[in-house]
Amino acid sequence: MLEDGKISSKQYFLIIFSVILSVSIFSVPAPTVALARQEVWIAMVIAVFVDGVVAATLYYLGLKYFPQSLVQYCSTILGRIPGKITGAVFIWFFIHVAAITVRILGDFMITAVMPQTPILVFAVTLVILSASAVRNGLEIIARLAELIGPVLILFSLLTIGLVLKDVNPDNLKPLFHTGLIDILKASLIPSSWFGVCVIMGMLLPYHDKPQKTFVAKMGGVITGTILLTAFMLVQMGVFGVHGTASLTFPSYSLARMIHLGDFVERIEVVMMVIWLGGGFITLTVLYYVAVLGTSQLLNLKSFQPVVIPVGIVIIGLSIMLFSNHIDLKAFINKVFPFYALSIEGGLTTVLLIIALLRRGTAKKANRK
Amino acid sequence: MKKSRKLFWITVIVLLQAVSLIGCWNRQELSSLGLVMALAIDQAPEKNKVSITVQLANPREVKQPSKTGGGGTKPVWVATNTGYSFSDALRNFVSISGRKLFYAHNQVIVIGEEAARKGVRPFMDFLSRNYQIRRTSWVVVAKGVKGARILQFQSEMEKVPAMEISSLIKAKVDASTAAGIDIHDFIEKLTGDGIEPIAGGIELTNRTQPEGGEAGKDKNEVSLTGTAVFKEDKLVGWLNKPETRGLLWILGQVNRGIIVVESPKDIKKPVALEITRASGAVAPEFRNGKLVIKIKIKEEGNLGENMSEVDVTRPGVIKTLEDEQKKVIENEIRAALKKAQKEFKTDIFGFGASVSRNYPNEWNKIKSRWSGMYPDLAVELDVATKIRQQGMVSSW
Repeated sequence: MLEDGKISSKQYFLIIFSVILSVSIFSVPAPTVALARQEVWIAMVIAVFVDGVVAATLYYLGLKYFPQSLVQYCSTILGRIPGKITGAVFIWFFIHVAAITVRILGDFMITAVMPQTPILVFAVTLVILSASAVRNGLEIIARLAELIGPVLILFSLLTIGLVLKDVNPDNLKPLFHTGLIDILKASLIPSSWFGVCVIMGMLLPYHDKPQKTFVAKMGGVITGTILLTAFMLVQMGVFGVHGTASLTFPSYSLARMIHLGDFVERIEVVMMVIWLGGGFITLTVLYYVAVLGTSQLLNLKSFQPVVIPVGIVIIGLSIMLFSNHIDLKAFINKVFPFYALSIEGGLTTVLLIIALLRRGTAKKANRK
Repeated sequence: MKKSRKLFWITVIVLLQAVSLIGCWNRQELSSLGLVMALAIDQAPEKNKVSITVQLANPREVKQPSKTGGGGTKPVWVATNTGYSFSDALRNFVSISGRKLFYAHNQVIVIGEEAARKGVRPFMDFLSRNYQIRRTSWVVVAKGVKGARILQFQSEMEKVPAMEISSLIKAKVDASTAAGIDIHDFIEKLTGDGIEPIAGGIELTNRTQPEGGEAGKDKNEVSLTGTAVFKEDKLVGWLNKPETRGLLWILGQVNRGIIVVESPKDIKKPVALEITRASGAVAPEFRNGKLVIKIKIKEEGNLGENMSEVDVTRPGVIKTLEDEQKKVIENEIRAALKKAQKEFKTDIFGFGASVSRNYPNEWNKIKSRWSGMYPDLAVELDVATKIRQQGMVSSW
């Protein structure tokens, strides 16, 4: 087998949680608040439901074709050639999102902390570090998540707690005054990021109790959503709807607002390091499933030879995909939701329908 | 043999990592930075230019104990430069100071009155876009003088005058005699719907010498007096001290302070009441289709000082004092309302914002007419005051 490691439910939960929170915290708040305004929590609940449907689909398929992974059962369901093509689409998607993740983290670093450093420096260091984690396999990544995940939860709560005194509750009014269409439109943004958890389809075979995958996955998504929603509500309370929507990195600006007495201040760099840690897990997991998927698609005996080439592709894409941050934001806000959901939701639903149809025909054939 | 080779490579890798740890890409040494403690924005003599004044701190001098005195360089350095934009003017400083400006420790932004009257929105962009400037820097408007003049005052208490201005603002906010507005609040009010910005007013005054001392010849002491009132991004006028507290009552930002009332027994001898807690809320109401703004103030205080001989233990006296107190609060609020509504016609209280929060549908209808409606709005006051404690003596 390509991967001998097994991960526990707790590790599975923390991986999903880190993926949900750490990149979304940069990309989701501003555009979602801009559209859903005070009803941002409704948009988030809708997003969880959308993600729950995707998760249920992948859970059903994953158990049905156990121990095959998403990329492998594509071929089982669709036949050899279409299956390989579908698998390749998923792998492309993982690589693409990994590249976007690198770009978001890099853009964040050069906007907020080190404006004179070329983004290539951050892209290369992140991916090299990530490559070394990927080479060591899934168990190492899981343990990393076990290390960083709880810290991520703790410090997110701490950030929210410390700025609570700057929240102006008036900014959260009026309630229920955003049109349903706008809320639905807004919910597409978090949905598309939560949907990145199609990686669960790749990780399910390595879960030591595959039957518990759905619970662990939804647990991660819901925990992440609660924290992310809390962040957005606090941001609205502090900056107002208009202010949150106009900030480039609302969560970072929020951390900059922390000032307790005259000594607990300027601690945003601590927050930044922890979010980068979370972002690093996201990148590593996406990178890993892309590598694993590629070697499964090509029937390789080991995934080691694929690690470096995929890493180079991720670095290259992260630099070349967007010419500037405005470009990146336009893509994330306007294109990514539809593009991502058509793969996360659309493609998996097609797989499910065909799988169900095939089971039907197989039963009929048996009866004859 | 194999083991020692492995050890060798590990050593090499560790050493190489150490090399990468010594610094980042754009490393900046303290000695090559100019720590900006305060910024002042003024209108330059040329029409299309701005003039920026910075107060730079010299960390080495600030750290030294004061007794070393002369010989050393000054702890702060104030310089002015002009440019076509905020950052253009700032960039030109390198040519005169030789140090790269570093804004993360900036305490105060002083806007000159002339520049404030022309509009401050263009400057707010740089202040919020720059990654070093914190949104927690105070914003004040220099009353009657250029902002640059404020930065030149010599502080007696602090080595860095900007720190004194900053603590002055904090103390005044605690005493509820000035609005503490930082970049964050200012921008929120500037961009918010149905609310207009305010800022603290700073003024140069004569040196406050103890009695018998020599009076200073030049005005060289700063004091925070009143509030600068904006309409959109332009300064339109000033509120004086009681009007400022009137504004703070409505905004719910009164924490502490003294209310001086006339004694029921002898109107020439005052009784001072200490505010211990207060809250203010704006509640708009539609009555028969007409908008009425209700302001609810709840105040609690203690008897702080009794200069008259009125016996507070007598029944009814406390009630009378409470009513007097209520009258003073109402007068302050009325004064602020009169200035802002009738004279400046600017919604610094955020009445529009509170209508939009409570009646979003109606707000959408009246939004475009708001600036016309605002000066004639009916405002109702509902002030409740309580006196709780009498201090260490009752009456003597």
